[in-house]
Amino acid sequence: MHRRTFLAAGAALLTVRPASAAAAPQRIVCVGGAITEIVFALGEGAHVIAVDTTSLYPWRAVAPLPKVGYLRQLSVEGILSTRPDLILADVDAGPKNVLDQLQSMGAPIAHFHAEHSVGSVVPKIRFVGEAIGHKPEAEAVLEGYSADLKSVETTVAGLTRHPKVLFLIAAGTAGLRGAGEGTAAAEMIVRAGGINSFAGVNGYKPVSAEAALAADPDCLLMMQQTVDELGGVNAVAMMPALAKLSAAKAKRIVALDGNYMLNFGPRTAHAIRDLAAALHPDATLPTLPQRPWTTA
Amino acid sequence: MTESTIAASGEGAAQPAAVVLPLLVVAVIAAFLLSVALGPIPITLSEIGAALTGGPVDAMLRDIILDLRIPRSLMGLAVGAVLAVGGTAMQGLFRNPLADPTLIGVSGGAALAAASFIVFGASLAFIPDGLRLYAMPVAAFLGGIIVVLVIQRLAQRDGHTDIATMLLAGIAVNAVVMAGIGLLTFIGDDTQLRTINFWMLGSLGGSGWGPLSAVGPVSLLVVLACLALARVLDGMMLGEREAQTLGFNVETAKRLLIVAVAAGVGTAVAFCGVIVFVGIVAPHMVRIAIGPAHRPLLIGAALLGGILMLLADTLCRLIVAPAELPIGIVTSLLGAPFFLALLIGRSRTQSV
Repeated sequence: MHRRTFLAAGAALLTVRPASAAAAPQRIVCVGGAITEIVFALGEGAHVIAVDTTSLYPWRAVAPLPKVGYLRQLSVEGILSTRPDLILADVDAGPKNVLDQLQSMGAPIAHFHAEHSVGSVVPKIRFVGEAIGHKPEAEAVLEGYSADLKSVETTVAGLTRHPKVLFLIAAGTAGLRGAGEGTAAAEMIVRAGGINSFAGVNGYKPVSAEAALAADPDCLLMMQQTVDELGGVNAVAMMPALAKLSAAKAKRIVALDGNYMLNFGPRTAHAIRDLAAALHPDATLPTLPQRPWTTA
Repeated sequence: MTESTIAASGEGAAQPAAVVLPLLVVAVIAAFLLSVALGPIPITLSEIGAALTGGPVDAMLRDIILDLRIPRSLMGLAVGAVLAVGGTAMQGLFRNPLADPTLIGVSGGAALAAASFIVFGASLAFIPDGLRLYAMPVAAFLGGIIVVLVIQRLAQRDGHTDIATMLLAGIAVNAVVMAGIGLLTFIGDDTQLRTINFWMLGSLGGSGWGPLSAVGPVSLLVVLACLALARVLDGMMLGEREAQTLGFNVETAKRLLIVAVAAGVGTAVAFCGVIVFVGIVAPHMVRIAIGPAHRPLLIGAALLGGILMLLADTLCRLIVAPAELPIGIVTSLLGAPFFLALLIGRSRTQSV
């Protein structure tokens, strides 16, 4: 019954979407965790009808929604079956032929194109605001976000110690995997006033226990989910591959929610602040004000 | 063991092909209609009819039926048929019930080339953007063919292809290929890794009239070529020398079969990724039903391969809708238990 409106909306969006309230999309499919967060931050969460599997926040609202699959492995028909009047896709949505097919069938896609980084957050919020016809709301979120980011950047710039940090995306019987250059984790470490101790390689790569010892990080950084799976901080500190590290002996193991830390969305300023505070336990960092989009 | 298994299935319980093959044709038609009708968007048979005849039907539904479902279902038939026929031909050629097209390296070679393209493709600046979508299938196809030719070359002994050597060379070369894929997963970043992973599990999700216009005709040609060589395959069940004395040009037949299977499976894998188990299950199920004579066996395997692919793909689209499962998971998950049930049922009535 929505088919006619679906096609009409699609034709309009492919050219220029008018930002009037009347044209605001009512059935949004979000592909990409940061995109989903932004739509909710702009107050349009009620119109999100399906998300991809990387969309995990706001958890309570997103969990019951239908999932269109992993963002790189979308299905044309799966997405069409949700009868969207807007598909908001982040940079890594795909595969390309699926997006092409959706486009050629007149599905209303808005595809964001800047790579994941802290720098992409502002254009991404603007992009979503424009696509869903909520520019003023986007500017309001941006104002808060930019102020928070500026505040945390000032705080971090004042820090004198720069701990060496090893981010482990995986640890266990199959060995360690660390975050090299060009990863979201590496950028967050630097933004939070740390030094990535696994530099010199690109991407998430296996790191031997010996290499970890040689790098001698002051602090281990992991996702909360990974630490929980391994049985908590104490269990991680006692793992044979890590036990000899001075960071493990001193229990300097920081765990932060992976989605919060690595997603580059409106919560990123807060994530940088929390990470900086955890990496610099001897300094007192001012807290950021709570925002509607950080407390959902 | 190998020949006795094949021979045993020809006796007693086997149904005449004249009964089974028409049943399979009916099943293909049913599976085809089912796969066009079922999906995350429900479509009725009358809507399919209207879309095909230009009758009144919603524009989006017509697009879905004509540009997504039908080419995808035809793709499923073509890929299933060529995988099953390839499996049948390889089992006949190697006189080994475990043989399938992966043995001669076509899937591995295609996977290695595809993985290379996933990891390094972005740096191949000379490929124009318009052709990028087809560059990976072309690379995968060439990769498959090259590895087959290498294995075949390694198995050359005094001007003829030694099948036993080819089997062993295939295992060795496949190991090298897998190591290459492993190396690529190490070099690649996490996103490339996931792309390689999904590719290795196969999908018909990229189907459309474009890919079908490559896979369809090639599959048909390969099925016909294997059918033309059915008598030689029958002869080879007795042994290569025996087939030679029966008047077959065994060496030419071997080469033709290898090239045909490599081209057919290579094309299918290039567009749909690696799809396991159809090439083993379909021929065995048909052999259990109608016996080992290759002409009806090849036809039956082609039909059953298509049916299996269509059913598996339909499930892929439905189980986790609006997402989609990789088809390789379903072909193994469904194919293996069914196959085991057939084997166990058969071993109760006659000892294997």
